[in-house]
Amino acid sequence: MKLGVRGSGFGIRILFFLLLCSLSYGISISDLIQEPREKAIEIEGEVVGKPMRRRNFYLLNIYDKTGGIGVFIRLDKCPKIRYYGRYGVMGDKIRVSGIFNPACKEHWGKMDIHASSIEVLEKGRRIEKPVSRTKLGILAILSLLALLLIFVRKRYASN
Amino acid sequence: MTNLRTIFYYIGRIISSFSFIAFIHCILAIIMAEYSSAIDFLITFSSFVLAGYILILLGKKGEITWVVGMVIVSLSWFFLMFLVAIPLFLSCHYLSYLDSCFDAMSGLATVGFSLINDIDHLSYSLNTWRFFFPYIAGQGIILVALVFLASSPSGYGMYLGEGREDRILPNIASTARIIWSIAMLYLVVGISILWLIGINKDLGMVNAFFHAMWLYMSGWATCGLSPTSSSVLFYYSPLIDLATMVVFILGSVSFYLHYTVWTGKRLEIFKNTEIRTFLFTLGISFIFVSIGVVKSGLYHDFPSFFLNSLYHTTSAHATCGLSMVYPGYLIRWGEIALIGMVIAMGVGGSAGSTSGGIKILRIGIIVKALIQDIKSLAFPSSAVVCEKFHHIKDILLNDRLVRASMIIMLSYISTYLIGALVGIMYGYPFIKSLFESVSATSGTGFSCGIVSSNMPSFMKIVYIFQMWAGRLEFISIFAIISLILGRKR
Repeated sequence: MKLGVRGSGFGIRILFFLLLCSLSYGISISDLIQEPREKAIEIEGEVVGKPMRRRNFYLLNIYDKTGGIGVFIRLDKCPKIRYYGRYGVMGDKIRVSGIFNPACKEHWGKMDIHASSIEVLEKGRRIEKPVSRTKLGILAILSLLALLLIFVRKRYASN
Repeated sequence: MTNLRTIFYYIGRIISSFSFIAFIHCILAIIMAEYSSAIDFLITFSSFVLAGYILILLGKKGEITWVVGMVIVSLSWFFLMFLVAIPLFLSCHYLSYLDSCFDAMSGLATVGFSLINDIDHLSYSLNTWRFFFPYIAGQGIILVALVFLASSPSGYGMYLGEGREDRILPNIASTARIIWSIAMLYLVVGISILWLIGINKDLGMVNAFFHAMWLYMSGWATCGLSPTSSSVLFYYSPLIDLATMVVFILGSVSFYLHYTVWTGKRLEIFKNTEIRTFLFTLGISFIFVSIGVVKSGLYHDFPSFFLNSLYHTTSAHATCGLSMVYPGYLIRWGEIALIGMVIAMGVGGSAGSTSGGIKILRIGIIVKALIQDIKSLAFPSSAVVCEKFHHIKDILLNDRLVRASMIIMLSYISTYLIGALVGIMYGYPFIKSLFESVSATSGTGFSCGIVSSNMPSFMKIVYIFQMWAGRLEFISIFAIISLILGRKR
């Protein structure tokens, strides 16, 4: 009996170990794309583009410098995304847990992630894009040269 | 020397004529509160004016012969590449100016390869710049310039130089007007439909409009550039997939055929040799791609397999390059599928359309010539076997036509192989190298992983040359060589 309990405990540990092995933590999107079959994953990335509502789900596109992927999550499970990445805005950084589908049957064979949970790791922010003084200087020189040439051309044409 | 000065003069006129596009983008940047981009566009505007006037001052107005017209077209593409690359480089989304030039040529040649980094944070104005040039290049950038320059009869040489052999109406200005009327009609309808789909898919009013405009321009110009890091996959919408597929198929059909159908001859669609050849070669490519995709075991249901295979084969055949999978993912479809894609890309779309490649009409002519030769073997030597093909009207096959088609086809095949050889020299596998080389020369822009900002600089330069040569269908290169040889004599 004792042995039986020990045996079942060992079996549970093995199962737990296998589950951990099958769950990929912290992999990049470009690594994910190489995965041949469905897999439980946990991935981090920046939300880019406006989250889009699809019936009972939200579609978020996340990007992690190596690539981007679409994440579907039920409306009630999606946290509030305050910033989404676009020009001048760094989107919220999120951690997605869910199932990666290399060819999702529900979405016409497209690669996606069906998320079970999303956690906002870091709030996004606006990025200031100040006008560079060097660029202003280059612009002034080029404009002057262009005007000079137009003037020369006019004189040349009139002569 | 006189020819050289004439060439400089007209390239200068073309460049200065296009400076206003940079100015319009500057205004767009100000409207969208993208002030840093606005300065980039002002610098670009000044550079266009400066480069244009330098060339005008160096040159001299003169008569444009056929050969000179061709050379003007060829070289203006190169000059424009350096100028179009300026705002791309200034945006800091590129690792080097060479990468910006690569993307600029990719746009001008309606290829769709991109070495851009962090595309999802690109400004609206710069994205519009990326899509606007392929769009107008597709329509015939020089044709537009000719309208501004109030063309002379010899200006037709420039029109031919772009690889558009169909002359819809005798007068070049009328031709330009017809092309632009057809294009504008499709533009308004196409953008409206994509906009409505975008709003329905919760993209937001303004965002949906810009995405609709960019996707339309990319599809119509059979360019395949995308405003997002994951191409059309970003939207997860079969409606957008379908709409873009219709747009790039329409873009790959000859303007001549559009014109004929719009003026009431609808049966022409079924009789046209180009359309028939297109369906045949599409069928062959689709079989290869399907076998590869089935063998890969990636798709477990028929709709997924069919949609993915059909979309990508059609996109390859139209030399568009819009994709529903991630860049580099195509390699997972297996070598048989890649061969199918190479066939589709290599053949390309219609002559006189925005697409690239050898062109289906040329393939049709060569196949007809082969049939003629086989038939003639069955008849006595005194018999005269005539073969004709239908392209708007019945055209009798002659040796000159077959020879011209063969020369262009051989030029394409040689360039495909030379590009593949360069890839192999850098250690890439043959099939990947061939795929990338065909994609660059035919103006498709599909990649199986070689094209990236990390690839060797020499390969970038080779691909730039391939994109340029493929877009101009080699005719302009022959013209440059003939001009040089003519000067030597």
